Amino acid sequence: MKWVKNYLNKFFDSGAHNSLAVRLWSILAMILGLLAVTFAAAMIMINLNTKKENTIREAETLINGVTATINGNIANYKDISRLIMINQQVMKFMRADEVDPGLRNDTIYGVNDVLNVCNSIDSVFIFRNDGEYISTGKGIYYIDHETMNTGVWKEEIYEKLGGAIIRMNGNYAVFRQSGDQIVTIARAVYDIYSQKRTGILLMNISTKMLATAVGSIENADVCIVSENGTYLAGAKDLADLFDKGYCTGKIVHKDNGDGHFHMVSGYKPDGLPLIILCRVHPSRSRVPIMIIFVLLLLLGAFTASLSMLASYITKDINGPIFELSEAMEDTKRSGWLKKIDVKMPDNEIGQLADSYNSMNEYLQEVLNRLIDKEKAVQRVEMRVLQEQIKPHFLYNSLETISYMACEAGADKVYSALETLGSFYRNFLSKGDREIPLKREIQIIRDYLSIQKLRYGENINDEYDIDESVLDVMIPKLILQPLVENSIYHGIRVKGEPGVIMISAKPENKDLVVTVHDTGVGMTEEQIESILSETEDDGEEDALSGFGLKGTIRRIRYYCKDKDAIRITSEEGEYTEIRLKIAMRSNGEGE
Amino acid sequence: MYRVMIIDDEISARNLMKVSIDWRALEMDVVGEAGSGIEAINIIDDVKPDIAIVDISMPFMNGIEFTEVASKRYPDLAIIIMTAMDDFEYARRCVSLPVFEYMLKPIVRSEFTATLLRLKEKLDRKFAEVRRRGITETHDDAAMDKSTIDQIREYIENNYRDSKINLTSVAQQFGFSSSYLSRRFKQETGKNFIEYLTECRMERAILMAGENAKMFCTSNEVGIPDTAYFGKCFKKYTGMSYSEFVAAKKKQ
Repeated sequence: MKWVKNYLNKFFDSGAHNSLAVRLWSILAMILGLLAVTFAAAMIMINLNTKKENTIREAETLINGVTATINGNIANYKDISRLIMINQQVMKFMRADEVDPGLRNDTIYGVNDVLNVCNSIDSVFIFRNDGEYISTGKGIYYIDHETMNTGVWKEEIYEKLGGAIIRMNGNYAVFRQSGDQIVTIARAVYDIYSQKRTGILLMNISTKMLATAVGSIENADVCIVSENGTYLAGAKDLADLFDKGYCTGKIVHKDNGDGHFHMVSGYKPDGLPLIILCRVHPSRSRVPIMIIFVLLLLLGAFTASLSMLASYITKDINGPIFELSEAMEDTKRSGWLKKIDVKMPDNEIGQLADSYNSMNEYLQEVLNRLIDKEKAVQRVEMRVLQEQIKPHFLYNSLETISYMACEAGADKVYSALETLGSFYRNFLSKGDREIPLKREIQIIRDYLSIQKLRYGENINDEYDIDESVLDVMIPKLILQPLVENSIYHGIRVKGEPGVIMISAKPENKDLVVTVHDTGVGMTEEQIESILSETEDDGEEDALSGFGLKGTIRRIRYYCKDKDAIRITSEEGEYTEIRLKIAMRSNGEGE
Repeated sequence: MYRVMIIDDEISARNLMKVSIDWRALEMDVVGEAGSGIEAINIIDDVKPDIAIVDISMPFMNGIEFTEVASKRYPDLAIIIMTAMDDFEYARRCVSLPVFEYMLKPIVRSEFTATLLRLKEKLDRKFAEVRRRGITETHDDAAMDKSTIDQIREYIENNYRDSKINLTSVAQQFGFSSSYLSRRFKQETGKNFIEYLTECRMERAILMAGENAKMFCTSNEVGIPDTAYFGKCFKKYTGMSYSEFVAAKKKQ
């Protein structure tokens, strides 16, 4: 069993068979295979056994039949021998003091009279005590007088008193010249008046008698041999298979070892010098159909129940598990913690799906909580940032200072404060991410007028704004950083008075805004670097507030167009930044 | 000349507005100012403004609440709401209020003047209309007998804790014009309506001060939750500040 287990393990461990269904079906196939083999083996065993039993039974019947026939025949011959014994001529012959040829002939005639009844009798020999004898017969016989005169030969016959013994070839003292075997019934002859033993009678029977006994048998080979194995009658080839083992007085069955389960049975009937050998033809024996039928039925039922089990497992377990895992995969692919809404059977697999769903819910909850927390943290941080610039504080301070300036008659100071207030009012406004162009322009005007306070006549501003675009919405604070850039990296660096020109006009369905300054200009590399999308100088951006690069990123993001911003420049002469923004709904946001 | 009232908790904001705008050129005159909505409600019947400039973020009663109250009682009053950008979204949510304009703080003179100019034109047109139709102001008030005055006094005594009552609200309550009520009240009681209301409140305040109550509790209790204005009223009525009064009471 161990090797089977090892083999199975090896089979299942070979990767490709990991699917439960495949494993299941292979186990089933294996069970069925095992079952079929067992079934076949059982069939063969039963077949062989039945065959053997049948063969034995048949052989015994046959042998008993043959034995009975022979015994019956022998009994007849014994009676005939007694008739001969009491024949007048024979009695005369036995009593006569002198034996003359006449008497001899008379006696032979007398015997032949009796023998006429039956023609299987080969010959009859009658010996007187003094050695005189007569014989009937058609052939030439050798008589072994030496053997006949030994005490043993006679003793055997005499021991039976009036009875007969049956021996081959006159108890091995009388042989036919032709070599034909004869069965001899030998008995002592007694005078019926004096009850004296007068001689010995040998009645020789031809083997034809035996041939008749076995001749009519079908479906089997029957052979009769003598005690020493000499063939007498029937199937001659069986005579070769004789051995002494058959001479036990019982029916002996022996496998002849030719590989075809041909059994040879042998029997030596009591009192006969013969062995009956018998071989039943194997084709005669059959396996009982009922047993096969029952076995087949069992096999069928077993196969059916296994298939049902397998299909149940496949349908009610494998299928749902497969669907479940598909649904889970789907969920994974979607990137969301979705609930599985595949219909599941109301069993352990359903429970699995429910558990998965509730786990998903739990995870979603945890995620939500984390997200909320993160949002809250962000909100707080934003608040902190916003709180750092408190407009109320700034405005109130501006108002107070403005009032003081007014009181003191410092009109210029008040004007500057007013502009600053206006600038911050627009600059710090929250909420609106998009504002009308005119408000952005106002921011720039305020910004530049404050800057002009610082840099005096070095900065001049000019505006060329088309009235039709005043209300176009643009992202807040996209122009101010450009103007700031013009001042700090253009005009101030140059060291001479410069002009910043801001123009805005419609162009097809776009709003085109340009910020032109007569500053130091930019090199091609600078322009490329500014327009590139790398973030290598992010730190610089952070330092200069909104920064030029950050603004460009915002504009590109807003317009979803890389070419929304273009820069042209001539070193030492000018820089012009040109924005192209698709016009959207207008109207004051306030 | 249009009468202007400025209501803002920041005194510098009020001052700046008064000095930075050339009111005379606009034919306007700043005739009153208040540091809170509470104070404004108490004095508005005396000030009788045509225009109220109201800051939106004020303690005790903010600009929105004040506007809600005032626009009902004084349908002819033109209101301009001042707001810092922070409150702008909030103010915008109140657009249903009958407000002439929302203005951003800090004020920019050019902007503010332009708005006032528009308002003046509107008011001019309205008065021209009224004048053209003839003077129909005379309100046929039902004769007010003494018992009605008593009823009104009782009403004040029962309701002075409501910080929103004033002459006009009570007049509307009883179905008289505020000027008639004011005149009749003075005839009958010898006191101004507002004086009487304040007297009621101060008498109660004096009782509470005697019980050593904190000022903010008292001011709330008597219907002047604006402690600054309450203090002003208290001093005017008793000649002492609230804390002095409490200390003096303790000594006795």
